Amino acid sequence: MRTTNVKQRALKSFGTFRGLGAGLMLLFSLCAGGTFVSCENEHCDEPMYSSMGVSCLSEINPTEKYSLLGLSLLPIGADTIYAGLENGLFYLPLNPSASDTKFIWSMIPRGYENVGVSLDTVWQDGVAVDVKYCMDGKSVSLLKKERDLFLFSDSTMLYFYAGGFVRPMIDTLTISYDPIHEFVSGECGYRTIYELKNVAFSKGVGDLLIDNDRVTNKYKENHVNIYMSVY
Amino acid sequence: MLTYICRFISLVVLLLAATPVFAGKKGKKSTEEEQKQFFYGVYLDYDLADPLMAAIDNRRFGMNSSIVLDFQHLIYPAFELGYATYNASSDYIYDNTGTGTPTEDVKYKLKGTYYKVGLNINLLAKDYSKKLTPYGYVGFRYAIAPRYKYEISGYKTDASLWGADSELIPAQDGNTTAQWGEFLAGVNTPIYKGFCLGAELRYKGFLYIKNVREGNCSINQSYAPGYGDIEDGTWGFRYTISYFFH
Repeated sequence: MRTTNVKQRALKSFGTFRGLGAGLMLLFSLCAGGTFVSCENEHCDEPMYSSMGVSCLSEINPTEKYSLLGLSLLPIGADTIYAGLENGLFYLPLNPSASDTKFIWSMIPRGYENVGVSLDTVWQDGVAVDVKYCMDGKSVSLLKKERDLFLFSDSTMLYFYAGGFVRPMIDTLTISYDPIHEFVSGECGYRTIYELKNVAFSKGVGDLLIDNDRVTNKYKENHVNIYMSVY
Repeated sequence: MLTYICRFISLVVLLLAATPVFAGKKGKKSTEEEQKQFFYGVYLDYDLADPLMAAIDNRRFGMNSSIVLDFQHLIYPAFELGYATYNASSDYIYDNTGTGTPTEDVKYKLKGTYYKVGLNINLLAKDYSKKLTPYGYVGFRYAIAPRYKYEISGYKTDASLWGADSELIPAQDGNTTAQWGEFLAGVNTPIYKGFCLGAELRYKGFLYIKNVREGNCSINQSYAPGYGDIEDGTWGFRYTISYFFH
């Protein structure tokens, strides 16, 4: 008798279920419709740029960060200066349309010497129109200034450091790589990642080591270590 | 995401609430239980959600149909077959040229078939005397979209920093394979004679898409037929009409 009652109750639930099924379908339609219509993504939320992380370390104690007095990098072929890199940890962009990128490495050596520079203001009709910088017996104009780095019309570079002008130590950093164009999505298109092949200084400011040869869009990843001699 | 999970849990709870199925296990076998058959029949269904989605979004088109077998009103092995095309050439394109003018005339299109196999388990009380009964179930699927085709063209690199013109990346035309798993919960109820209506909510995960490397291009798909957009496609639904053959 008990089994029969249970059975009747169970079968009764089919009737309940028919109504429930209709309700659930309505619920489904509303939820699913709302969910999927609102899910269209028309934005690119992916980080699209890949930068090469560089750490400057002491040659004497390779686990120690090497702080510089002043460091700027000028990408050859680009009208940009990356200045204020003194803390020895920075991220460099690479050219996606080439297989190497070169940077002019401009740093203040520890044993720096001041350069005598005098200023000469050029006046016209009582108005100052230019300031000439006189050094080594020649007069040049300021082409560009980025933080404490001065770039002059004759390609001379000087730092303004400790109250005077200082001649930097110049080298060229060449980074060779294979650019890989990675398709991300319809909204984002391609981003370029780089497989590093070689890094070298032309004059040997420091020793270089590729720590991670895959430059991707990952945030704050290190790729190259530079072991600096004490200059 | 929390909202989706709540919806899913609510659905399962609703289904279980309507199921006094465990109570019947204690008793002796009734006459109806003796009428239990090993195999009741086959459902052939068609997913109405795909045409619905195509009506809302003209960039997509899809068809999906499945065969579901009814064993003892308890286990329902299922096989699904589908075909989908998707034009993911977005109206909005990220300004990857760095020029302030987004790339125009880009193309990203996909098409391919997909297959799913799996099982549904009926959680409701079973009326073994009837061949066709409503059922509410949970289940899983293994899905594969083998060698689906893609076309990508018109995108450029960003060389603006280097004073160079943006380089047009060569058009990519190839195929790749995606695999994933799905957990699902749904209901199916007879409406007229052998015809049934069903609704199903699916959670998709464990997606693997084979990366294609061609020259200096690496293609990671952001869409797979049967899965949808990788970022947005975690949840899916089916709204089916089916016929029961017995």
